[in-house]
Amino acid sequence: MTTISSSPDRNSVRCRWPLRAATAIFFLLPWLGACARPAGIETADAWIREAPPGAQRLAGYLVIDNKLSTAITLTGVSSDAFATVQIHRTTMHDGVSRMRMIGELVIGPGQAQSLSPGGTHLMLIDPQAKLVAGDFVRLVLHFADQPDLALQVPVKTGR
Amino acid sequence: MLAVVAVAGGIVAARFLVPAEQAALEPVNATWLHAPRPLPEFELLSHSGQAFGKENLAGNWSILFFGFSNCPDVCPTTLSTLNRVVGEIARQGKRQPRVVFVSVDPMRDSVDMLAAYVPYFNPDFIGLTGELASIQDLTRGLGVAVSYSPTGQAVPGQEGEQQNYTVDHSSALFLVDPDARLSGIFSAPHITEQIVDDYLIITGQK
Repeated sequence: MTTISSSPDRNSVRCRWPLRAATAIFFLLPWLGACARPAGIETADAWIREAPPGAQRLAGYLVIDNKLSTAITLTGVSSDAFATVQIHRTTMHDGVSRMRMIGELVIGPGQAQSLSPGGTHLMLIDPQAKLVAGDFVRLVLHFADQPDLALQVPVKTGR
Repeated sequence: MLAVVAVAGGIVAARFLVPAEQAALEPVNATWLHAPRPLPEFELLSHSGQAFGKENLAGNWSILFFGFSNCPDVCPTTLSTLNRVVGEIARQGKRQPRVVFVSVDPMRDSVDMLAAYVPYFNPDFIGLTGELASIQDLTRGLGVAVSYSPTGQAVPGQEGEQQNYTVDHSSALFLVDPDARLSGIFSAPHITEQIVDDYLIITGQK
């Protein structure tokens, strides 16, 4: 599988082929289906901030590492757990915080794009069910000219 | 001659000693208003449904933060940071500030909404909402910039622009003294340790 983290620390299983040892293949067998997806795009530190009571907007964060020799474009994200997922960017102008939707996210060759608090992030709108810390949510990243990439992302409090 | 040397020496010593002492007491990141500015009068509702005005800020140091509950990124991040700030101040045995979250989105942030939202971060935090005009009394008085903008793409199942807008707002934290006067401003980025240190300096606890 590309990478899923279960804590803020990097705790990842990376998709590399060939793998160094047969034992690793054995333990990674359950993940190989996921590895059929885009080779050379890795993710890490994915998490969704648990919504405070009443809030219908959640933020999702992750690092997308483009190990390819060409730029990749994240064109959208989908999830059955939300009505809509958008890519947003928070910026500061003269001390004023602004959040805007951006249509797509281009990540240059060899570049890692961090979607993190106070910056670029996923805006997860209208959860279909209440999500609490410890839950996992399936997100599918859509790229131009690359296969989809599915992730199981943990929900955390962030407090 | 000796007197002249002594006076000159005293002046030199003063230049080195006094500023050094003062410098140690200046906040590192926050802006300290040495002439605190009285807040304007305002009439809002706390998340418990009680009237809340300027007089309710008297008697305690307060940190005011302006935001809205449909802000999923900066607002929860800042409120979480403020929770850690008051926790650290308490751990040091110092006088804690009250944290007051003022909604700049009263169209969506009802009293009930804030009653659920604000205590999630800390049960002692206070949420304020009310008439937009009353909120603007406070934001204008503090110089808080607020504007409303569409986020872009419509959200399925929601009625047009009613739900699909965002609020641009000052990310600063406003420190209000026990006489309800603006005494300090913490600008983003908000780092727990920096806020704690500067708060303790401005409030004379360091």
